[in-house]
Amino acid sequence: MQIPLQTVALSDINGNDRTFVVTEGRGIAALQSSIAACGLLQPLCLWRPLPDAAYVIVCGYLRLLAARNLGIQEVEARVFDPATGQAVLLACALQDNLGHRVFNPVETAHALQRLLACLSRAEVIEQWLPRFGLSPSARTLERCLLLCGLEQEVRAALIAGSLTEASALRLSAYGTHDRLAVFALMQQLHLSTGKQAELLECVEDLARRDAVALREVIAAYGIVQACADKRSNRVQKTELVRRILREQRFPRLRAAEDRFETALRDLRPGPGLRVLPPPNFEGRVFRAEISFSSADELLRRAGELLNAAQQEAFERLCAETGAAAAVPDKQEQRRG
Amino acid sequence: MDKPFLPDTIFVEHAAETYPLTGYVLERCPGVPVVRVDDAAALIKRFQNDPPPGFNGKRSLLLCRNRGRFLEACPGTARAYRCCQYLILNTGLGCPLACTYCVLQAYLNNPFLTLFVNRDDMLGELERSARLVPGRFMRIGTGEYMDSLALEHLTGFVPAIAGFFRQRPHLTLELKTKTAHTASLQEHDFSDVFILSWSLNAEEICTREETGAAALSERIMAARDLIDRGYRVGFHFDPLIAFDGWEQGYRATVALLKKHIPAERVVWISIGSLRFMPRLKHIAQAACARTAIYTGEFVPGLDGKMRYLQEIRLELYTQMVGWLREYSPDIRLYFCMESPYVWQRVMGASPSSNWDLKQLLDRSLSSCTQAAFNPARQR
Repeated sequence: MQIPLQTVALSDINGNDRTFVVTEGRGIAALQSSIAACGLLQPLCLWRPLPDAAYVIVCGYLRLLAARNLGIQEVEARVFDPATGQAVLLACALQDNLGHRVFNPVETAHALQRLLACLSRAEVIEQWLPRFGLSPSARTLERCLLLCGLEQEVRAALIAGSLTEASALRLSAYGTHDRLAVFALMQQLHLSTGKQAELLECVEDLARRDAVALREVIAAYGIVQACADKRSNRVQKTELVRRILREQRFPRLRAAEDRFETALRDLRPGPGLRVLPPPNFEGRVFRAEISFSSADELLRRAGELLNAAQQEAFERLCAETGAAAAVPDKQEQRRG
Repeated sequence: MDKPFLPDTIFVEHAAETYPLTGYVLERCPGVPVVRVDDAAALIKRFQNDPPPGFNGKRSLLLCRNRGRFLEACPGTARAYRCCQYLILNTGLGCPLACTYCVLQAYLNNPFLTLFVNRDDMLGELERSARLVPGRFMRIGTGEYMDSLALEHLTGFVPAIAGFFRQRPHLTLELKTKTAHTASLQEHDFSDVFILSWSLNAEEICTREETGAAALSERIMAARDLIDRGYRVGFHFDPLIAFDGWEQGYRATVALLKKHIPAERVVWISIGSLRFMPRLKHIAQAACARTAIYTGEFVPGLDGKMRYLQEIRLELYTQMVGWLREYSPDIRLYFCMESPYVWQRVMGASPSSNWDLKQLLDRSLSSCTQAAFNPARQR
């Protein structure tokens, strides 16, 4: 495809027409410095829908913004024939970008949405999904498109990396009010990938369990107050909110942990000794850890542990796993 | 009353065309569109990755050959939990019922309701496996990857294999179902051949979480009907679910049993609580937005599956065992995939090994003999 090169005045380009712009959430500072130093090395690609209409940007939206910021009046541009179809122009815009950078999830979603306006679903799946490094399946396409429905601030968080794609997809399944409430909470906290998933799962489970809206879960249990506490930093707020949610979600597990902790306090194992319950209080295998730096120390602490094991408090400690449900077994019934 | 299942579409693999079961099924589905396909594996892969719009795997029946094993050990997980060494006979994959807790939602990578038509190969494999351990009792079930009776009206499985099992009394086939589709067992007397068992739950769970299954009372009355015809039955309270009001719900179900089922005809009752691979939760909730059963206090078990916190399981089991003991102190109760500690706490004793548990259940079969029951006396 031969596209003639022309000199075009920037004032003749309609920068507000983003029909073919596939870039979202990218800065232009570095590009602007580059153009200031070396000029515009790569010409823009433009399209003029009618002979006397303003040019529409096809490739080089960021270059256009940078050039305008630098006060450049005219640039070299390749100008597509007015008869060129929209599918061809969009393909050019995408190929121009895909050749040298990875699209963020929001750009991918919007690109696919635009492609669907020009091409059949099968063409988008088979020809374009692999170009974005995605598996060519309807499921993948549907998943990507969900991001298009997100509010601008949610998309911005996804692009900025403070929200994972998995979390954004999860949020996309919520109603608007719930989504914005949950998103607002997440933005106040410092959440790693795993903690984002944990928080969303917890809020979803509580809402489902108690048959309330997600935003009602957030409004309850003192979460809002915890976030508003000016004495806490984001990390502290995060831990507090996680603890509140976990206590609500797993009240009996939490109670079992508390019982164990209380029994442990009564036992008062000496320094260098740790007694641990079965993981998740499943089964009956406890663990004892001894820290030591010499054989003498090991012998001394092992002796302390053995002494502790003979105390009533130790029996209570072991009995605490599953004690709330304890039903007298036959032996106990006989004793009774 | 649950209606007998009829698929929307039948896919027939080329290699399955000549098998008698294929013709048998097609005859019983007049008017159902039939799609011929060259290769079932390719079809499954295609629909798995990219299901066409509107595709409903539960309504699409695939008839194909099983190229793998028909008989396998029940996938009991981890040494920490006791497993009864049950054997699974794969007559097909998938189930037309839509239970929200069904593990198949996460377990199978085949979206079709699939029937294996090479039945002779199945019986041949069964025979070879039995010969490897001559005389050893083998408890076998078909209800693991598919409800045992949900497709019986299309397959005629029961009368077709009864002869094989009748000639091999050390092989016991348990047909496990949530339906009341017992016509073929009523028409013929196979009471010496099969154990019929029903998965039971609280009425609320049957109604809310077991779409497509028979109502609780229908299951129990179907069991009673077969008992009156001389059959031995089993029941499976699995999965128990700790919903609000579970005590009343499960107690009422046991009361129904007590009212209608003579305990001496019950070979065994198994008990287990809801447990699942972690990924099942999201799959199941996506399939059924209203279900809340996964919001209980589940923690990772020693086998990596999510289980109710042990103290909650102890509560569920202790109550259930108590009510079932009131129903009959002698009935064989066992836990499916529970720890020796839980066995000990609830039952007062634990099988010393999986083999020990298997033998307990084998002995239950021998003690609950077909001849020991006089239906007239029970009425």
